[in-house]
Amino acid sequence: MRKKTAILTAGAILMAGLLSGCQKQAEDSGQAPAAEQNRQEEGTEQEAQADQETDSQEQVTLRFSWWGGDSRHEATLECIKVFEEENPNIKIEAEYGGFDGYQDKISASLSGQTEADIMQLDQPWMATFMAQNPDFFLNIRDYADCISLDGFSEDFLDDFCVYADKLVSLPTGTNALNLLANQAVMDEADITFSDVITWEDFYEQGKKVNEVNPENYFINMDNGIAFYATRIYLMQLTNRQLINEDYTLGVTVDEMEEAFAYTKKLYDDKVIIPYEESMIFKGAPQDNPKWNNNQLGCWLNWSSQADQQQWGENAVSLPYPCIEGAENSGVLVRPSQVLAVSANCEHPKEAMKFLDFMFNQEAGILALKDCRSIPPTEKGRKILEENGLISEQASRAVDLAMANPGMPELDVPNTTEVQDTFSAIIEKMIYGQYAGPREAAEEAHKLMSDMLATVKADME
Amino acid sequence: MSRKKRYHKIISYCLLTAVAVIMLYPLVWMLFASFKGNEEIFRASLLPETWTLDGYRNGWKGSGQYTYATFFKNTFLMVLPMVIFTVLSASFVAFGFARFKFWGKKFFFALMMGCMMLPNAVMIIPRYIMFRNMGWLDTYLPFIVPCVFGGGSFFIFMFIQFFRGVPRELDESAYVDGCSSIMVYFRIVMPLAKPAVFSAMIFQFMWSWNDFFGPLLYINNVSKYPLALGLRMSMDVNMSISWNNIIAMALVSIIPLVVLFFCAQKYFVEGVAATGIKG
Amino acid sequence: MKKKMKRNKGLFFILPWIIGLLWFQMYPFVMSLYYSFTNYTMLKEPKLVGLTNYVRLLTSDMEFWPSMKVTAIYALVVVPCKLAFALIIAMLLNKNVKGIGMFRTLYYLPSILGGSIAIAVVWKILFMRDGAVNHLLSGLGIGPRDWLGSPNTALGTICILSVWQFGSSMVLFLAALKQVPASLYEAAIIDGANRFQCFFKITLPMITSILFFNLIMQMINALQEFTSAFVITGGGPMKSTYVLGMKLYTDAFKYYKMGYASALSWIMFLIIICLSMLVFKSSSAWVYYEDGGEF
Repeated sequence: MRKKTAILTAGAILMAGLLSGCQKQAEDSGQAPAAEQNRQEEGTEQEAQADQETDSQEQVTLRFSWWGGDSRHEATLECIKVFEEENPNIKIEAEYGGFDGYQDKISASLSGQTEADIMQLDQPWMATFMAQNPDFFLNIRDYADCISLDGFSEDFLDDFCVYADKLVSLPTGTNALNLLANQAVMDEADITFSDVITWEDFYEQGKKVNEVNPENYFINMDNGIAFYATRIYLMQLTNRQLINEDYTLGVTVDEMEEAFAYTKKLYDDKVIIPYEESMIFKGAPQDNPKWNNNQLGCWLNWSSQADQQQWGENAVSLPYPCIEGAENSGVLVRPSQVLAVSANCEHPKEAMKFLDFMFNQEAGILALKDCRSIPPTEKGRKILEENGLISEQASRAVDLAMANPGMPELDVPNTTEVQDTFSAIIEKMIYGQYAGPREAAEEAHKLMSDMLATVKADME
Repeated sequence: MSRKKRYHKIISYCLLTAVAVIMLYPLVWMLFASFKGNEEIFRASLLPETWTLDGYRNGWKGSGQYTYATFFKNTFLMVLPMVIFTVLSASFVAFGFARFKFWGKKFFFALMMGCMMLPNAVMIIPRYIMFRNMGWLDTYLPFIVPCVFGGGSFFIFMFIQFFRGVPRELDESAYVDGCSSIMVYFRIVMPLAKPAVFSAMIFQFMWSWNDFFGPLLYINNVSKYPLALGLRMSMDVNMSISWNNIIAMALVSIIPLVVLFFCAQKYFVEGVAATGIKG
Repeated sequence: MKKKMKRNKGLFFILPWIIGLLWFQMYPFVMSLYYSFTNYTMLKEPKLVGLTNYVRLLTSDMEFWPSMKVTAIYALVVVPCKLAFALIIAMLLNKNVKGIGMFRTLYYLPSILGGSIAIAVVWKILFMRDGAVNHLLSGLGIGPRDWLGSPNTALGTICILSVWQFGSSMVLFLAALKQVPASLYEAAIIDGANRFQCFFKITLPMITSILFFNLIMQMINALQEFTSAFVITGGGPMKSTYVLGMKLYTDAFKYYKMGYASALSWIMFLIIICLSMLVFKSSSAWVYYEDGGEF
């Protein structure tokens, strides 16, 4: 049995190599064990498929999962369509949804080995995944003949996509935190910002929106983003990592208290939309009908989301608020998301070919447009700019951030659970469960330290 | 006296009707909302101002490459084998319990009843790991195979209760005529147990049709999604943009249940009450 | 000889169930106990860590006790309300009213549909800020509220969804009520008993066995609630609907803490078993079996 599978496996790989147009030489040791293991697990179904593969018209099906809003879904489906037309033997099954719950789904499917072949992941999750299993994803460099990496910035890849010397993912675009504001709302409330926006100014002016109309709010965000605002504030304040590489907290209770106090102030004085109202739109604050109705003034969010509004001329990208004189702008620049290929993928070459199509082929780039923010390659950005397909806001946001990028966050000890705890405490504080920011900061400090200690203990 | 009685009756009717109206309001609202345009969903009126089938037309398209036809097909592929195997195996086991004396019968019976109370939560994780190791994830086997082996204490118990009401004299005479026990099971007991068979079918159909947690854990590939997951995906994909599509599809997804319920009410309500009551 | 054959036959018929029991119930049951003493993450080999998981859960987990509280409130609200509703409506229906069949059908309908995701979706829409519930309440002069957004009301909306499905219990009660002999009431009325006395002295004792059955099953279900919390509120706001079932799911399938989540599942199991025992133990005092309850 085993012998038979081995032969079939070899045959299948060979056929796949010939048909996909890749050179055979890349059949290195890295992929074979994973592929074989997978084949053995799936037994008879696999054999039937392998038999078919002797046919010259090998049909390959790849699953591609991502999250996003409607514009991203449309663009990505279009890109798949164009790719399938060019490669009639490859079918891409799309699996997509909103952001909320996506991570749970991916986590469960990775542990169950039922994940899609190509996955869009959020870069900060990679730490958790890689800690669980460094072999979840293929090393993309092993497929250099299928996908060209020339256009990517090596530094960017090293910073965000390389784990243990393996390139496990590719950035889908350059993402930067920015302040996306609606000029119409700001005009109505008579808000004007100078070139540098301080948090104090941001708060003072933001208050005016709700004062003008009690149904309106200046900032639209759910607790997912609120968490970012607080963290960036902390980074600017301390110029240190929130969590150090040795699994300890990098900030003191006092510093946390200050950041929490600021966040609380925003909520207390109705600068931010109340939690009660935003909670329903968790993961998709743009779905709040008020957003396109000029009742919400801005959000502090990623540039990849900059197209999630219908404000027309009124949409403006402003620099991220800052603490005066902060050494670290705190403004994160990182991949919008990353794309990774599962180690269980049966047709890695085709998967890589699809990635190459998305990143390097003009047809793919034009189909995707800027649905995942500014393309990660120079070529991609140039093509889109020439065709006027790049969102002005996103482009400006990235330029603003690049002018003064903050220190990138360490992601290794920064697991999902630690992040969830941090945002859970902010949520509790906003709902008034603590006597004040001090108590919240103390609890956050204690709980996160404990949690990091247990994470560390588990690692050893 | 009779006046007082009539008075009571009127109050009863009023109460019953009032409660019924409150209870059915969500369903009625859902029905009408499915004919509304999206911008109308959040208006106060119950009836749509302009009736439209857009919700159904657009909702049916589902997500990208999969329409609700796929989700329906998948649901049936999952549910029908479950129903058939449950009825066969549960009645088979129940026949053993109801008709034979054997070593450890009391013990096994107690064990079976105990399993009814065994909380699922405690077995979720090992089962998931087991199915994963067997390569059953992303297939319907985790749902179907357990139905082949007994199909759950509830159904076995239901059949036992019913078989106890089938006169033993019938089997006795069949044995005298030279029937084997398997023949007795198929030829004598099962044909008489039609009401129980229907009840079991209906309940298993309803429960597996509604199941969300199982598919959430075991099915990841959208092409294999049953309705429950398909609906949730529709909800995730576009929140604000098309509430009417989602409501329409939610309605479509429960139509088989409603139809089944109204057709087979007798078995639903009376059959189960009769078999379940003596527990 | 023949008798012995017959003995084996019984075992032969229940064999499928025994296999199923060992495969899908006993093995997972034992394994989950084992996992609960390990730090299993599915990807690394399980390593025994003694009682660490239990200690961590009970002492340092920020979510465990709040989640216990939420689950307890949920069960304490849902189970009695559901049973009370079911019983009251069943008694109203038991009065030989005309159209009983229709009412029974209508009341039962939500139980058929209520567990489905379709209804959870509709529930979410109904209770949104611009949803139908707020529209109806505004007619009564009550201002719009964020039912699902406020930690004070989110759990309530989920409880309502569950109580709404009282139909199945009602049907069981109705059948039980039908079996109470009318002669008992007639005799009592002749003896001068009033309605309340009739209810507490006759009706209630006669249906205790079904009440008992309902109580146990509803309790077990309520303590394991997952779907509605997961779909409607996602456990929020502020974890106010973060029931134990959700915590189990999150720990196991989001954080990969399989061992830890197994420990949680065992705590849930022990709670359910203790409560069931309690109900069983007390049942001899209040459950009346007409036929002595023998099998």
